[in-house]
Amino acid sequence: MVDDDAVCRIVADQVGMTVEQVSAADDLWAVGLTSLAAVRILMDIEDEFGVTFPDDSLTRDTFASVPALGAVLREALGADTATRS
Amino acid sequence: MSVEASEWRYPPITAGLVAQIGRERVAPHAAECDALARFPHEGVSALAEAGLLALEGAPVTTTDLAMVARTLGRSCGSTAMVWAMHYVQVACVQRHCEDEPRVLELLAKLREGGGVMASVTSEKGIGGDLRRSFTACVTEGETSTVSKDASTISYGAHADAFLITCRRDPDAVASDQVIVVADKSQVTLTPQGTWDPMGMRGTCSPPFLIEATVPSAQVLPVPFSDIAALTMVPLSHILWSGVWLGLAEEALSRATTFLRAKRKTNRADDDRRLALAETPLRLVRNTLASVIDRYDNRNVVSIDADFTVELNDLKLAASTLSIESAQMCLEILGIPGYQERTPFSVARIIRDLYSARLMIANERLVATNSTLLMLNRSH
Repeated sequence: MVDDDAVCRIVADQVGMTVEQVSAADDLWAVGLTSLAAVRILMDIEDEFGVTFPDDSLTRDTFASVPALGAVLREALGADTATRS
Repeated sequence: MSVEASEWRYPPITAGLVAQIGRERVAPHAAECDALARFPHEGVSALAEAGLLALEGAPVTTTDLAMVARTLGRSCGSTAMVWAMHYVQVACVQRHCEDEPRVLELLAKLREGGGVMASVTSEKGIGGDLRRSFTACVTEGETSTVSKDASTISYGAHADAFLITCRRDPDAVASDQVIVVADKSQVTLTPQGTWDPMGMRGTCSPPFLIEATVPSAQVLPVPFSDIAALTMVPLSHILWSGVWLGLAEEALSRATTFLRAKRKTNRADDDRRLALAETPLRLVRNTLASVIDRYDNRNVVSIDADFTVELNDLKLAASTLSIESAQMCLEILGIPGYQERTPFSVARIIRDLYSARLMIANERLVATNSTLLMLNRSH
């Protein structure tokens, strides 16, 4: 099971915030997330976990918080595992 | 006389009216403003008199606005660019602050005085990145202050109001920005350099240190990220492209007039280069129309990377194809086009157009698009 710490670290790296600031944010867009950073976060997560986020998950809401990103990641990992088994 | 918002009568805007103002009130001063690198007071006053500085909120479409930029571009690139930048600033404030009485009051004062609003988005050391600031807004009680070392403030010394981007507070990251709106009575401007550039000389855009102290109600509550994405970036690209298109269309018009005059005395084959000068402009016109259509019918739910790429493509195309066309016109015109003071001169036009690739450096937009295109998995 993937916890949100790795996602949190990736977001913090790309937005230039501390892990604590990222964890505390309800809406990352409101504290400085840009669309360019969102694309880089997406690529970092996909590369690190070897998954592909479905196109319909690439919304502002998905990138608004670590729990939202974590949920899509777990779903993508689940789908990937299901495909392989 | 004070005019209440509800009583304000927006002027009827037609291409003919704008062209007439451009021809009669703006163009006659273009050469002098360019030669002396001075602010185009006469043209801007004419725009104020005609109500063209107070169009936001009027029943005009984005296509109408692009028409104004393009038509004024035919007469004077600097005046057209001042109009475009002012319009974008006002739209950023007015469209996102409908319920902020203090800010609306400031806009009403600006409109009544026929003044222009300047933007302070650049900052030394930030590398031209609109979406990052070093300087922070500092709020104590009901008062907010911001001090910004701006690499350029267009018409800063001639503006009656300022839109200043900065970090939300001293603890915010560089991209967590807000807009502070200030009346000129609330700012101190200290020039940090001179303005003697190649083109767009009338925009008077030297570096300044700007210090503003304002009531906290003049810090816009909407994050700058939203205002930039929904209004500042798209409208800037659209209206700037309109200005560049207008400049290049003027060069094309001069080349056409020149060839028609030449044809009377020398019935040689028609100059094939005229078509080569026209094609790039048609591409810009079509891209501009397509972006305007998408902007007016946009969907803001997604992160909308595709629209950002298209917008950046418009800016890249308009800033390079317009000068490609004008350079072809220069070849058609020869020395009369190369001279500064002939009816067929395209010298100022070409010098003005070279600024296009620097206003938000094309290289930055190419890098942004390259990153955003990594999202596209269908290639």
